[in-house]
Amino acid sequence: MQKNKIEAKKVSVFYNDKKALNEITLSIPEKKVTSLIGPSGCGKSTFLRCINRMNDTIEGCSMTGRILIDNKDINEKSLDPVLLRARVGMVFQKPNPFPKSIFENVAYGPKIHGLTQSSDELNELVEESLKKAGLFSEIKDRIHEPGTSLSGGQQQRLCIARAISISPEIILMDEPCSALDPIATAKIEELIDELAHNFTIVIVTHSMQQAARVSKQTAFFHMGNLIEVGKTDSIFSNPSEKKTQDYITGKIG
Amino acid sequence: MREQHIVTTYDEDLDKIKSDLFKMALIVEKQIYDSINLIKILDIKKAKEIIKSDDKIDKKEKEIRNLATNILTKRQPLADDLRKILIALKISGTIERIADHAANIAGRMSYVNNIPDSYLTDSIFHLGSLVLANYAKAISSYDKDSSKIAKVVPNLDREINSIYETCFREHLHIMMEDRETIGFCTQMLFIAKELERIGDLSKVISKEVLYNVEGVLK
Amino acid sequence: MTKNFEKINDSLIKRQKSEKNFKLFGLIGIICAISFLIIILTSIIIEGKKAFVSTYIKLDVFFDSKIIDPDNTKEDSVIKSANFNEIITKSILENFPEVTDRKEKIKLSTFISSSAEDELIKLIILDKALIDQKKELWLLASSTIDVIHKNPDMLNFPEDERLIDDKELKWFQWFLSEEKIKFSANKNFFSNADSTEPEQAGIWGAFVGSFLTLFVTLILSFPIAVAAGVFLEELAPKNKFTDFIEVNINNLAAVPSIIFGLLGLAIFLNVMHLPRSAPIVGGMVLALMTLPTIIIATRASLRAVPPSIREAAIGLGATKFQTVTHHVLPLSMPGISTGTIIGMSQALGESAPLLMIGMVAFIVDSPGSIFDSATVLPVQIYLWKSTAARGFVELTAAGVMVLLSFLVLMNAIAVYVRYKFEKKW
Repeated sequence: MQKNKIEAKKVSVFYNDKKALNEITLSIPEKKVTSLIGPSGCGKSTFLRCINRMNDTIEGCSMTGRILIDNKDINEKSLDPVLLRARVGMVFQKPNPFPKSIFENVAYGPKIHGLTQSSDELNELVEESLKKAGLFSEIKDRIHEPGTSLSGGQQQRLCIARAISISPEIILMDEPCSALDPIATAKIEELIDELAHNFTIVIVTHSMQQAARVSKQTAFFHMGNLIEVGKTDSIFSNPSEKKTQDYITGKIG
Repeated sequence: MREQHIVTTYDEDLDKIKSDLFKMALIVEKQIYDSINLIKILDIKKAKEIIKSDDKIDKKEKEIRNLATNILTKRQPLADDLRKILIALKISGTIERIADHAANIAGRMSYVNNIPDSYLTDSIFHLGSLVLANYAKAISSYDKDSSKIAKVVPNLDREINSIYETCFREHLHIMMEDRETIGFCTQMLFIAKELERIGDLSKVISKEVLYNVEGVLK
Repeated sequence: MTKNFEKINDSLIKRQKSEKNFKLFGLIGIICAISFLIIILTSIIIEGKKAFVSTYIKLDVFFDSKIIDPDNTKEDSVIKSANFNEIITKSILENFPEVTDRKEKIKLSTFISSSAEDELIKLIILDKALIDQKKELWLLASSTIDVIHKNPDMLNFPEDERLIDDKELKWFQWFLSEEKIKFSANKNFFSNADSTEPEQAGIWGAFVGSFLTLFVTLILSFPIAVAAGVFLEELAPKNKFTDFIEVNINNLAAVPSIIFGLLGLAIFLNVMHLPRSAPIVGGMVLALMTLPTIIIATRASLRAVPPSIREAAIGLGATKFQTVTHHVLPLSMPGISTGTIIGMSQALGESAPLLMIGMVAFIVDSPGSIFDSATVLPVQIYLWKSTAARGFVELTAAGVMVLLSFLVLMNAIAVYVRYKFEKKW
């Protein structure tokens, strides 16, 4: 039996008085890729941002229900969101490297958390993270050049390297390929396959094909509700809910 | 009323592949009908026509495959749309083979010089009409996306198989009684086999229709 | 189709015509602005450039020991108290043996600026061997001579309209014909503070005053404004109270500067008893005035930092404070610096609030610290402009030139900083 890393129980999210998510109950298996699909504004990104409490930074945003990681409630008062975010990394829609060198980008996380003792150790960690992100061989000669000088796909892999530099257990990806060309997208997807051996990955995507390619489990959100969740294969060949069917075949926005 | 895709040309493409395939199926139905009729009324010219029209079916099948490939690359269909394309590919191939069998029947009949006077069996016509009816059911289940009709097809096929057995035994009898008929009856036995194959392939079509409607392969 | 084409074609002529007109009006506006600017600048430069040179007169100076140091003490104090005026008068009279009348002698002696005595004292103290020697020296002419020299057409004016009488004119022309009078760089202008004598007045004192005042302004306003901006933009919750503060900061930016001067007078001088006319008080008043400008600039440039950077840092587990100090502030620094420099150049050109706190005093020495009495460039210009003597007209223009140069320089630095350090996103 597959162990569940994340358990969401009746999670509702409100932006001021507007309900953005309606009692989502969803289990996310460990060291597998789960994709969240659904039309824009369906709440999938909101749900994703609940997992590392990114929504805390948005004014007027509140949450009810419980999200458990390894059976521990992440919204407990005793848990500092900083600590949570060190365990739950995030990759964003638009590649957002810091306007610093490639090295500085990857080294930033370990630095603020004090993960390394010496600069040699830090160098090693940076190199290792870049290798894991499949970027090292491409940029090893220009590791001190600005991260923004890389191509879009490389920037996104740099962001992934930055996220895994602090060895999180979970990586959240919010439409990581939406700004990339197909080749760069393929490289990221290859990387996601690779990373799934060591990390629990939750990915929000607008590309049904991408969800079908990279994930084992797919959840379909619509208007703040979780309509259907199941094995990716069956969702895309024979969804059980009519709304899912209509969405993935392009009949509803 | 059926739900529409947001992209209307997508609907048009799906409609086109279905109507093209159904038209092809109707042409083949006519071919089966004609080739069965040849057994009653020997007509070499008609037989040649049927054999020739098989090329047309081959061409149609290629058109449908191209259209399907085109939809796959353009739309990357999922769920029921994907199944529609998948079964269209399979059914078009199946129908093409049915057309081959019909052409084979016509081919066999063109070797027959005359129907012996002593040949009295009705079983081969019975087999032919049943096969034709079952094929018609199969393609109408496709046309109407009807699992109800599709489920009838395998039952009819069992009947066809038993009639085929009867037909086979009858022809053996005839051949044993009258050695003159051996040449003709051998052709008839081959034709019966072709008809039985058409019956089997109709069952294949009905299975595809069931997969499309129910979403799972059984 | 064709119908539309014709319709569009017809209206096109009209549209293009109005576009042309619009461009023309714009061009006229710009030409007007540029020509006014050129007129102002040229008039200032024509007037002001004269202040950068002064008139010098060549004299054979005999350093008579009887006058300088009759007891041969060689003491500096003795030399300093000696009557050098007499030495200068004697040297000048040598050229005109025919002048015997005492009044005329005095008139002649006023050809040379009173500051020449100090020059000679310095010379002797540095080199005592010069005593009882004769030396050919170029001495600074008085303001009157300077004005006549700079405006040669004055020579043709009737006697009562020019600054000198016929006899003086004759002497002046003699100096001219003997080539014993010349223009040379005006060292006083860049090294002296204010003076009652135009030829001795300089901008240096006001410059130092401005520098010290701006220094105080910068030290006070920059950290406070940046801290306030960061707090309001990044940390403070958005509620009615912060909205109220925000509105007030924007209003504060529009308050006339003289109000700040009144505030400074009432609080810094009358309540806190800080020294009058001092750069510390001027700096505090200008800091109050500059605060809203920098706060607004800070908030604008913080807002311009893409939220994706904040998200990236927070997503990595950085605290809010780390996010701001590691990423957001460095990225908005070019904008903040630009705003600060512009605020500073506003403060540099400000005079009204400083008048209120007494920085309008006549101050002969350059201030040595922020607690000394001082004046600033714009106030110095104002002072010179309101002085009657003819020589101050040029000084006023020259002062304006100096002030303008600094403003241009500061704005140029602001532009440079913005382009150099701006990160493209």
